[in-house]
Formats: sequence, C-alpha cells, structure tokens
Amino acid sequence: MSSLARTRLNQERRLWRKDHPRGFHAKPKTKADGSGSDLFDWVCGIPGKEGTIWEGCCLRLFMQFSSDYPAKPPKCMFSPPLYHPNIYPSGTVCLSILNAEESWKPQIHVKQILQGIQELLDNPNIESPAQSPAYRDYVHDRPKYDRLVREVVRKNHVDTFDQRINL
Amino acid sequence: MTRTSTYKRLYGKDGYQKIRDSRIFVVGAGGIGCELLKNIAVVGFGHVELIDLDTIDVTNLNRQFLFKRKHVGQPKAVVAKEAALALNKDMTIVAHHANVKDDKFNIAFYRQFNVVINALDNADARKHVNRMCLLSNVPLIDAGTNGLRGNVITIIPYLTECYECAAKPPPKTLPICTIRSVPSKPEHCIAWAKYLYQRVFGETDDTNVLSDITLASLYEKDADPTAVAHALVRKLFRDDVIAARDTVESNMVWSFGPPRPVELGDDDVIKPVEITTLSDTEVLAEEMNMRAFVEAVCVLYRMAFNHTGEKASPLSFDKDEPVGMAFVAAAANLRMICYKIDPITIFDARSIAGSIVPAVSTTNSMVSGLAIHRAATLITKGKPTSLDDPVLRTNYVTFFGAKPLQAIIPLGANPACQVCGRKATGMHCTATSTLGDLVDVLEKKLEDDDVAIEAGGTLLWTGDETAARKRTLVDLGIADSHTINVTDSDDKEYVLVALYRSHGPIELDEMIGYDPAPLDDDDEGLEMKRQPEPGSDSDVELEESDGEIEVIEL
Ligand SMILES: [Zn+2]
Repeated sequence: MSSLARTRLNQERRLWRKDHPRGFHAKPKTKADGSGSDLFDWVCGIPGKEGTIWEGCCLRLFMQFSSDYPAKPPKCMFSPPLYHPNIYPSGTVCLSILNAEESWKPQIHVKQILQGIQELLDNPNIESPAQSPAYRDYVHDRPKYDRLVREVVRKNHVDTFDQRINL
Repeated sequence: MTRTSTYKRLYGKDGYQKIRDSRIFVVGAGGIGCELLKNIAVVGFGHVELIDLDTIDVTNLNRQFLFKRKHVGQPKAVVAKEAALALNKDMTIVAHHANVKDDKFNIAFYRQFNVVINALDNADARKHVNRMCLLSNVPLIDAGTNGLRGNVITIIPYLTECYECAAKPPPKTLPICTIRSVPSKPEHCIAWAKYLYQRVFGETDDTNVLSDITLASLYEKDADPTAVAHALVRKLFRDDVIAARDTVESNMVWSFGPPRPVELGDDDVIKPVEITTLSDTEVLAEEMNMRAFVEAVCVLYRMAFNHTGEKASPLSFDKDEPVGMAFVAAAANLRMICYKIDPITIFDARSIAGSIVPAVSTTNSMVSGLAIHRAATLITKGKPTSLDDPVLRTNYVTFFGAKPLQAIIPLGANPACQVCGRKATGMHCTATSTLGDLVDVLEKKLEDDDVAIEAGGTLLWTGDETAARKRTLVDLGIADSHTINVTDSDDKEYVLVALYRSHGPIELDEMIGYDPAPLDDDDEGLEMKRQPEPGSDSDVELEESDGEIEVIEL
C-alpha cells in the first residue's frame, strides 16, 4: 500500500471537511463490518447545477483511488450508471481531467474533480462519446434527450439522496 | 590453500569470524537469489535464511542454475538451500517456502539479522521489505537487474535514501477511452484483447473496461462452441466496428482513417486451424487470424463453460499458455486490421502481453557478487555513520557506454519520504486494548484532540464517529507487527508498529526517524520534490524482470 496515496487521502479528507461546495457530498465509504471506513473508496454526491436541466438531482458517484494516486487519477463511476453522452455504460466517467495521459495532475483535489463532473453534466463533450443512446439522442433528438434527463433528475432527486447514499 | 583463506585475507581473520557469526536474510530465490546463495556458500556465511513463494518452472532452468530439470515443481527456497549446502556443508540455512508479506515475518524476525538482501522481481515486495527493514532498523541491500542493466543499493535506515525516498514514475497504463474506442498502437489492441479474454472466459469483474459488452449467445444451454466463435467474430470485428464507424460520424479523429470491418457474411464459415501449427515469428494474414481465433475460442470455451452454458471454471490469462496467447494475439491482430494498424507476430504479441525484458545471467551474476561483498563489508566493519563511506556506494552495472560499473555516493534519507521521513515507534498493547485506549494515549502524547487513525487503508478513527471506541485493536484487524498510521490535525504522520504483550496498558516507545515534514496546503507541497539522481542513469527502476527466455531442448 502506497503511503503517499494514504497521506494524500487523509489530507483530502481533512480539506473536504474544512470546506466543500454546497450540495456536494464526499466521504470514505463505511465498511460493511462496521470496523471503520475505506480510505481508498469514497462515496460522493453531485448536485445538478441550478438553472440547467439537471437542477434538482443529486447523483451518487463512487470514487475509487488506487495505490498510485495521486500520480494517477481516481476512477469515477456513477452508480447507477448515468444516461449521459460521456458516461460509459458501466457508469465510468470519461473526462480528460480523469485521464492520466490527458489533463490529470496530482494537484487536482477531490473538490475540483466533483465540480468538473458537475460541469460536464450540462456541457457534454460530443468529441468523445462514451455511450450511444445518450449521444445519439443528444445529437439527433434533443427533445427526447431533455425528457430522459428530466426522468433521471426525478429518479435521483436531492431529497432522496440520504436514502440512496448507502444502497 | 583452502577456500576460506582467500576470504580471511580479504576481510581479515577477525572480520571473517564476524561473517561466520552473522545472520543474513535473503529475499527471493530466483535469478539473483541463486547467484547470491552460491556466493554465500562460497564465502561461508554462518546463518542464512532464504524465502521464496515460487516453485521451479522449466523456464527458470537456463539461468537459475541451482535448479535441475528433476526439481521442476518443487519450492525454490528448499531446492536452493540443498544446492547451497552441497557447496558448503558448514553453514546453517533455513528455507521458507512462503510469502515475505506473511505476518510471521514480523519486526522481531527482522531484528535477528545483521543484513537483509533483496533479490526480488517486483516493486511491491521490495517496498514491503524496505519498510520492514526501516521499522526494524536493519540494513538492506537491494540487488536488481533489468536485461543488461543492474544495480546494487545499500540502505541504512534513516541515513541513506530508502527505496521510496525518490518519487518513482507510476507504471504506464493505457487510457480506457483509447482502448475501447480509438486504438492507434498494437499495445492498445493487446490490452483490449486481454480484457476481452478476461471478459469472456475469466471471473466476472465489473471493473473490466469491456464489462458492458453483451455476449448472450455464450450463455445458451448446449451452445455449439464453433457457433459461439463465429458469433464473436461477427460481433467484435464486423458489427461493432461498423457501429463505431457510423456512430461517431465525423466527430472522432481516427489515427489511420475510419475503421473497416472484416469481410464476413452471416453464412460464411471460418475453418478453425490447429494452434500448434501457427508460426510464432511470422505475421498471420487476416483470414488466418480469424481461423486461429475460432479455434482458440472453441478450446477455451470448452475449458471455461459447462454444458448448461454456465461459466463453471473461469480461466485467467497466462502468456505462456499457448491457446490463451493465440486468442489474445488473434483478437488483437483482427482489431489492428480493423483499425488499420499493422498486425504483429504472436512472439511480439506475447512480449507486449507480458511486458517482457529478457533476464541476463551475466547481469544477475555481477550484481550478486557486488551485493555479497557489500554484505560482508557491512558485517565486518559495522554500520557506517556517514554517507561518504565506500560501503554505501550505489553500484550501477551496464553493458552500454564507457563505464560498465559505476559507484555513486547515495543521497541521504529524504525528510519528505513517505517511509523514513516520519517518526515511527513501537506500540505495546494487549489483546484487550481498545481503540479508545489508543486514542486517549495519542491525544495526550501529541497534545492534539483531532487525530485520525488508519490501518491498511481503513480509517478507524476520525473523531467524527465514536462508535468504534470500545472495539479492541485485535477485533479491528490489527495483528502483531501491523502498522498503524496516525495523522494529527496538522497532517503530520506517525507510524506505530503494534507489539503485543500479555498485560499492561498501551505504551509507546521512543520515536525514531525524522520529525514528519508538514504537508503544505499549497499545491506544490503535495508532490515529493526529489528527482532521481542526475547522470546516474537511474531514472529507470531496475528490477529482476520476470521475463522468461525459452528453454531450447537439445
Ligand atoms: Zn525513504
């Protein structure tokens, strides 16, 4: 186990506790046996931005850190998988700041990752589609896309996040 | 002249006696380990303990010369011990056929040795031994080779740079977007094919980047493997390729133009070809790759699936298993053909799939000679106190350039290092000690009421949740010799090593090591600043590669 990763994650945890953007959640996952929480496996909540079609939702996302963190970015995965052009069918987020060979830098904090993903929600990158249904609808049938997003928002409403967080 | 007279002259009569009385621990009985053990026997060290998890494979025999064909399948440590005793009966050797990370090799175990020598093939075990040596305050000599290059590093805890003092570049991985959507190199396609192998024949793994591809026909009852193979070819190399070409329209930048599907109609039959007849060193044509793919799928399908279509015995990829390798090579080649990348031979595919650098006996031999001389010098002269001491020189062996052997003064321990740049201490506790007891002791000792306690990646205590206070350390998975990491409210870290005893309160030993360097809140502070030493040619991490060279039967 890399202690650089551990040190940094402890620091990230403290930073987040001190200060984080409103409506966002991020914390190490509580272990099933009640013996504490897993520093390398976080559960997060990303709110849809106000004034966008995503407003009103809070989406659950798992952030998995490897022992190579922060040299390598965490893997970010929506659970359940999300209808969005840049989210793989598995739920994994395809975003340049989350790619070690693209824009990832060890200096990027958890806060910035989550805000980056929030930004991506309403600003899909059609240059790198990751799933075809949402991509196709976004490009060819915007009304259908908007309708399906609203459906996502309804199912993942911010008021129900506390019930969904530990499922 | 006896064998020992040379060494008595070299190390002095008293010095030689110290070597006879010493105890050393050799970690690894592979290519370097065999060389080390031969040298140890020839010099005549008194007590040696040897550990290796592996058993002997036929591909080891060309360079791991203590092993003979009759030993194939036997534990390396045990056979190496016997072979060394045959060279010199006058020593004690203890062989451990075990994992060095096992709990029984604890601090108390390490503390009994004068020197530990690493002859390992992976960074993970190296880091572990480095850490154990630092916590036990025992010198470590690390011998490593990579093809024609090798090095010998001497680590004196808290004096010299340790194995983790310099930031090492992380091993390269390929971005998943590239693997899934826009391959441009054979490496991308090999990685894809290995994921595919795992996805189709391996254990279910949700983290597999291809976990979402649908393979319904595979799981039908009484499925015909040939039909399954055909369905796979049509899906992976025709339909999916057409879909990729059409879905992304003009948005995607293809490295070599839009992909093209293989030419295959729904009724076309692909004739399987016997895997053993395939050339290892010639590039196979598109049709031959399809035939190899179909045959490999049929064979692997019968191995992994039962007749009800259930994956009853999942497989795991091994580059030395010919059918699996043929599957990966053929699948990768077909993908390369679709994406207009030049296909490669099975031999090259195997090299990429196993990231092979061939092991070279001469390099192993050179670093082992240097390492044993180092060990003998440390034992005869005692622990050095200055970085200038010649025994601490880091040696680089290389068969390139003007200087085949370099000796470089090592850097000192890095105060920002994650291992030696922090205070460590023993924590005496009992089976009934609770987390709450520890929290109380720490809050008093560190004069800080916001400590975080973490062990093995699990946060046990953050001050937020107090439920675990009453649980015992044993119950929380902390066994003897386990390390506990404590951070205070300034993010300073301390390492505690659990030392169980029968009774008494929790007590901390005196802290050793450096005062932990505080982590700055600014971004710069998050990275370790130390770079590999300039000019030392050490930017590449050297390890004994696990590359295998074919054994040619004569
Ligand atoms: Zn260090």
